[in-house]
Amino acid sequence: MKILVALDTEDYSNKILKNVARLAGNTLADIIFLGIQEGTEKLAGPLADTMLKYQQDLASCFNREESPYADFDAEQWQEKQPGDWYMASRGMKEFTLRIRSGSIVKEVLSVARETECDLIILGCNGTAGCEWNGEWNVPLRIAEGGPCSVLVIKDVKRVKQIVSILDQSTVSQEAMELINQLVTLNDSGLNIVGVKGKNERKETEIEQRIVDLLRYYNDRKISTWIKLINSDDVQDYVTGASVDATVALWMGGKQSLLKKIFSRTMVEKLLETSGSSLLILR
Amino acid sequence: MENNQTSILILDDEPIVSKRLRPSLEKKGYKVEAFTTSKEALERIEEHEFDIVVTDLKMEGVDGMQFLTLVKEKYPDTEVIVITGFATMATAKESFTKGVFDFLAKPFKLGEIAEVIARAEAKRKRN
Amino acid sequence: MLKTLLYINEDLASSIALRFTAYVNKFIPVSLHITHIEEPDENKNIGRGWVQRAWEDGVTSSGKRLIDRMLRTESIDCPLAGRPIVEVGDREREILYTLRNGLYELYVEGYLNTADTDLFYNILSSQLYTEAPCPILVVKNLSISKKCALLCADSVDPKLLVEQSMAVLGDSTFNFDIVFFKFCETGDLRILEKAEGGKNLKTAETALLAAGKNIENVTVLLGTPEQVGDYLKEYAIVTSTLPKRNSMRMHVLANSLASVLLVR
Repeated sequence: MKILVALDTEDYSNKILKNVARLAGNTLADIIFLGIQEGTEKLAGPLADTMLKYQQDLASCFNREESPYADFDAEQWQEKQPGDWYMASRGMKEFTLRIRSGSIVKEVLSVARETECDLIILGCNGTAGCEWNGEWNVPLRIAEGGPCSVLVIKDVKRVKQIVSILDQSTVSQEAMELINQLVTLNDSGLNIVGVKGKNERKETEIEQRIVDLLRYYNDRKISTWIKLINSDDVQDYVTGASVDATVALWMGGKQSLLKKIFSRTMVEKLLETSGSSLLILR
Repeated sequence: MENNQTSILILDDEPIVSKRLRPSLEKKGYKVEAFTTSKEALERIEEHEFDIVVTDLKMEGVDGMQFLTLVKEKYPDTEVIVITGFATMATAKESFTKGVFDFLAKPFKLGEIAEVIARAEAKRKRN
Repeated sequence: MLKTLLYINEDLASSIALRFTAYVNKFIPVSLHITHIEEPDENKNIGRGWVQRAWEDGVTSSGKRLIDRMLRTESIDCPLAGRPIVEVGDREREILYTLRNGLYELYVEGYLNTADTDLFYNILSSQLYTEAPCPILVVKNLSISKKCALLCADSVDPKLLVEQSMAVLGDSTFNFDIVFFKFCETGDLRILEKAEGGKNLKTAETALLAAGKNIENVTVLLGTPEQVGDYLKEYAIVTSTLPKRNSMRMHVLANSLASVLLVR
C-alpha cells in the first residue's frame, strides 16, 4: 500500500500525524508527505521546516529498531524539476517528503497519479467543505478527480464503528480492501448500509451485494451488520452516523445513486459537521 | 530455458487476487501457480520447491502464518511475501520474525508487488 | 435438541437465516427441519383433479430442488433432522399447521434488516407471529457474538420473558445480559442506574438467576429506539416478548441490528 498524505502548516495537518503513523505502522505502507506552496522559484522555508518536523514526528511514533522507515542520509532537498522538491529514504519501506508549487488540488492529484498511491489522507479545518489556503472543498475536489480513495481525518479519536454506505453500483476491490484495513486498524465493527431507490420492493442488486459482504466479513470473524435504507432517508442517516463513526461513502460509479443523492453541497456539509473521519471511496 | 524461470506460488482465498496477479506476473516471464486454499497449496509445496511464495494471511483452515512457517521450515531459501487485507503491527512483526521477505497490505498496485517480487528474485539469485 | 423449523425461500433473507441457524447450533444443538411453501398464483388456473395433483407434484419437486440448491450454496455445518417439508398453499397457514403438528420448539425465518419499522410491525402482527405455538427467531444479521440480551421494559412481563426465553436458550452456552429500555425522544443514549429499571428489572434478574444463568451485565438504557437498536448489535440474539402494538419497544426491535427471538 502506498499512502499520500497532503499536509500544510496548519494545526489540522499536525493533528492527523498520529493517525497516519498508526495506519502506516500497521500496514507498513510506503509514505509520501506532500506539501504545496505558492510560487515556483524558491523552496519556502517555513513549509520545508514543517515538513521535516512532520517526518520527525512520524519517526518518533516508532521504536527506532522497529520503524519501517529509515532516516534521511542527509537532510537536503533535491529539486526534481522546477517547483518540485523531494527528500527520500528507503528502510524496509519507502518514505518521501515532497514539496510542490502550485494549486493544492491540482498538485495533489498530479502526485497521486504519478506515484500510483492507493490512498490520499488529509486533515480538515471544518469550514467551507475543508478550506486549504483559500481553496475550498479540497477533499471533495481531490476525491472527484483523484485516482484513489480519500480519507479526511477530522478527529484523532479511535472510532468504534465504520459505517459504509453503498449503492447499487459495483464497489471496487480496492475500496473494499481499504475498508478492511480501517476496520482492522480501529478494531471496530462494520455497519454496511445499502441504499435503495424509491419504491424498490423486489430483491435488488444492492441487497445481493450487502448480503455477500455480510457473508464475506462474517467468514473472517469481523463484526458486521447490514441495514437497508431508502434513498430519501440517507442524508439524515449519514449525518447521524457521522457524529461518532467513520463514514465510508462509495462515490465511485458513474451510475452511482449516492452520487446523485450526495450533492457537492451535502458532502461539504458533512465535512463541516462530521465529528469523525470521512472516507470517500473510489 | 524453462528451468531458468523463477517459479512463484500464489495463495489467496480471494480468487480475484490471483486473477489479477497471475497474468501480470506470467507476462513478466515468471512461472506462476495460484491456489485459493491452503490445503491444495500445501500439497503442491510437498512435491515442489518454489523460488517465491506469495501468501495471504487470513484464510480458512491452515492460515497464512502457519503456511509461511511450513514453507520456511521446508525450504529456508524460498522467499515468502505476505499480502494481507487485515494488516496489524503484530502480524507484520510475526511475519518478519518468521523470515518473510516483505509484507504488503492490500490494496496495492500490480506494479508494487511486481517490484517486491523482482527484489525477492534478485536476492534469491544472489544467494 | 431444540426441535426447530426453518423457513427457506430462494432469497437472501433465507440464506442468512440458514447460516445463522447453523451458528446457533454451536451454542445449542438444534434438530433442524426445513420447510418451503410454494404459493399458487391466484390468477393462474391450475385445474382440478389429476391436473391439479400433477401441478402440485411439479411445484413440490421444484421446491425440493430449491432447498437442495440453498443447502449446497451455503454448505452449512448443521445436519438436517429430516427430509425438507415442501407444501403448496398459503405460506402462513401452512407453516402454522406444520408448527402445531410437529410440536416444534422454535420457528426461524430470515428478514432483511430495513429501516422501515412499519414493515417489521406488519410481520409481528401477522397471523403467523401472533398465533405461532412456539417462539420465533427473526434472523436479521449474521453474528460472531456469544452473547444474548433479554430486552425488558416497563410494559414487559419479566417472568414470562425469562421463562419463555429460557425455554429456548436455557440449555445453550450463550452468555446472558439484561437490557432494560426506557424511551427518551431526544439527546444521546444514556446508561442509567440499575435502580431505574424498577420492579420489572429486579424480577427479570431474579428469574434469570433462578434459571441458573450468570448474568454478565444488567444495563438500563435511556434513548430512542434507533439508539437502543444500534446498542443491541453487540448481541447474537435479543429476546423479547412479542409486542402487541406498535409501541416504542416494537420500534427498538425493528431497529435492532441483532436477530430477535420473540416469545409469548
